[in-house]
Amino acid sequence: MTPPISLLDGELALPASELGGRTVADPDEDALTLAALAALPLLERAGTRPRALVLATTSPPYDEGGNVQLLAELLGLAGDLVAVELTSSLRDGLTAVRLAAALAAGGDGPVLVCASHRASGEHDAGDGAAALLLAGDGGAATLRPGPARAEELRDRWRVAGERERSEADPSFVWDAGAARVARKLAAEGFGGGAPGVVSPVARPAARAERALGGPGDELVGRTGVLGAAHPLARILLSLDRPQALVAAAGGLVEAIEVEPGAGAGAVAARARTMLEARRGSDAPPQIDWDALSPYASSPRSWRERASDLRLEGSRCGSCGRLLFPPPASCPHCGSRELAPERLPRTGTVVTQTRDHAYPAAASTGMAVVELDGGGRFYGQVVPSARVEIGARVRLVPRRLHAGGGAIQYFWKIAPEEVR
Amino acid sequence: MPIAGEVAIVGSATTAFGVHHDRGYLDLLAEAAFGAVSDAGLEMDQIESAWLGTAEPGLTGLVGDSGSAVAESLGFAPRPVTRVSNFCCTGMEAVRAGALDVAAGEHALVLAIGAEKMRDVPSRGSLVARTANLTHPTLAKGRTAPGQFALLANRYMERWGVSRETLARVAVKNHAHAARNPKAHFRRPVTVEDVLAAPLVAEPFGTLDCTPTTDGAAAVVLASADWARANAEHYVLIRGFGLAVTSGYYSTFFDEEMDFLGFRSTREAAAVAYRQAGVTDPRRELDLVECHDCFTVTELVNYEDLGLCGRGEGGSLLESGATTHGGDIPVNVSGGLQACGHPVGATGVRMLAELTDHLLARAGERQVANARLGAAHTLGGPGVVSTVAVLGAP
Repeated sequence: MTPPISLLDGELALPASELGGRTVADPDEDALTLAALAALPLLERAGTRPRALVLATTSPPYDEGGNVQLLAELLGLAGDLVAVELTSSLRDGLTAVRLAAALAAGGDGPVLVCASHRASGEHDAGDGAAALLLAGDGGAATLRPGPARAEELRDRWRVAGERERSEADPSFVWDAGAARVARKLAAEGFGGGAPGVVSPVARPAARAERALGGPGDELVGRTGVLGAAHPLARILLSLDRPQALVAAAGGLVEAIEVEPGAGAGAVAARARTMLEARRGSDAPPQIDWDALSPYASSPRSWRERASDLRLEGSRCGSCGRLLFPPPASCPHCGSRELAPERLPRTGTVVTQTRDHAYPAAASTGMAVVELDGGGRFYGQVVPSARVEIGARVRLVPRRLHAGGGAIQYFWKIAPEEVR
Repeated sequence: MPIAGEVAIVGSATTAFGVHHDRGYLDLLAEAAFGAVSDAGLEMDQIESAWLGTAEPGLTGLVGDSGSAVAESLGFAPRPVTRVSNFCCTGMEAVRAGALDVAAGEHALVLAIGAEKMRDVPSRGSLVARTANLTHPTLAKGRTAPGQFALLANRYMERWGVSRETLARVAVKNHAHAARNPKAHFRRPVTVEDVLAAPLVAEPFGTLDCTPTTDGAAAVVLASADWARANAEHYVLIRGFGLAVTSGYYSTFFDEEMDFLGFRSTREAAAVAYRQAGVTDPRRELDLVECHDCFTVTELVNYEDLGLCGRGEGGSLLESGATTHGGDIPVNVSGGLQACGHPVGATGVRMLAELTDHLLARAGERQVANARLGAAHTLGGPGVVSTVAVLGAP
């Protein structure tokens, strides 16, 4: 049996816009940037560095070649790391916790679990991410992986290479899908007979949960179904009370029980603040990715991954300045005694413009930021925000372009409220 | 020997600046070069070497990528020709290299040419698209030239309480000046209302705050002061020539010392040129200035960086009328980059040709009376390269 695991900390990340009860990310956000948004504040608070990273996402940017390594770079965890990715279904959010428990029990803890979803046309889905820092013991809550099942049963699916999804007849989904599994587990006494039920097909899952007397899924009407992040988002929002959850994507089923400990209330309150945050109600401005055909180079991307993805500059050992991009010698004192250092992510706008000539969008915000504690950043403002001189801002990872057929990520400037 | 005081411009010429659909890069180059040689009273076969300034050969199928364009265009073989490039200081660099060539004693009569053919592609497909696509895949994405200088405009207005209308009046002044320059790209006067109503480029700039994208070429013939005194029909002396390179293209706006209120490169280049020329009070000693008004705000910060006024006083200097033709320190009586246009490699050479015309009292309708000493200034990249040249009547 998979042993229980302790939750040290957790974060929910939801994008800045909401349309009709669905959270909507900017066009330059994807499953990796959303996952990073959830995990970064958690790592910035954490005293320990995770030894393993598990990514669960139902919308991976890369079909082949891996995704989790990019997230590892954005989080500053790349290098010696156990890195796992689960990319098939909503259930993977809970599978990630089970894997984390097994990894931690095997000595590869603490484990960072990131789960995220970037909706692409599902009518009941929203965009968001959750990150959980897990270790053997000593946390704010105990997570007990429960029963797991696998059988050939499909409610919503998409064949490789196809754009369109298929969905089974609603009466069949109700009779055979998540509702049936939840009823079965409840009858066996799981979750005191009244577990929460999550499924990619939102409506029958919510109906089953109501019928069983479960707590109800407030996210369905406020964010939409968040894919693999959905079960973890529910866990974080209700961390201050005991809960049991069944996640079923067709015939793939995972269940979990959660027992709060000291500190659970603070984690839950932070997740709730994120859920309650004011969101824009306009569709985010679009980016015309095809309007750019940028120079790109795989060797360069690899060579400069520290500055591009980890936001790493250099600290001059002689004059003490924090320099970005990392130079070959200090432009101020000429010293070559330079040590890598990650830039602070918060700061104040020195100056800004909105550029209507840059080809990728109707207009692109650009700003210069004086970072807290020294150093400067100059780059794009996220599409859904405007910033003025003196504004407090935070650097967040985003997609920059897709030059050379690969996705280039970099840091953009967002209002400080965005984590 | 040094350049300052020892090298002379003995001939100069500028093509009309504008959109020359009927003439290619080599045609423009030839017109300017033969014009300058003819102005010097020489024949092309008397010229011993040449320096070619072209910044963006990528806009014209790579013609102008090497000095071979001069051999092709002027029948110059087998004489030495080198192409130089240093952002928007490219034209001044060609002259500086030619002056060094003369000063070194390597060649007696040297041609410096700046040429740029930018409008074989639409204006937005020109430098903006090149910058957007070809520059650094992360650090530079989102940058354009107007967008970079707009960062100064917003900071400058905020810091010094300068109004948007004051910025616009730079364009108004320079377009009014250009009405008297038959070779300017735009010769129609504009109003503050026109500038404010123009389509946005990078806030606060509209199209009339920005130099247009332009074709053109200019050339000067350089010789030693001794040669000029003995042989020239007319000449002016290079009194000072400063070049300063202060930061990298990508790194400069990440630099904590960048205050977005001016450019160190200009201050350093001016310090060198003024010291060589013995200029200690530029506002009083200079009779006219051609400066790099690529965007409206640039002219205001240039006033300060060139020492024509104190920090934060650029707006009031403009509003006082001192920099308008007839004022005590007229700036960009040619129309500047704002109205002449800015064929990158040609601009610096055009400025020196403009000063030469005034110092030789042959500038026609726009002649600055009794001009004896003038300065030209270019600013390259995001303000990281600057040249300042001081020319004097002999």
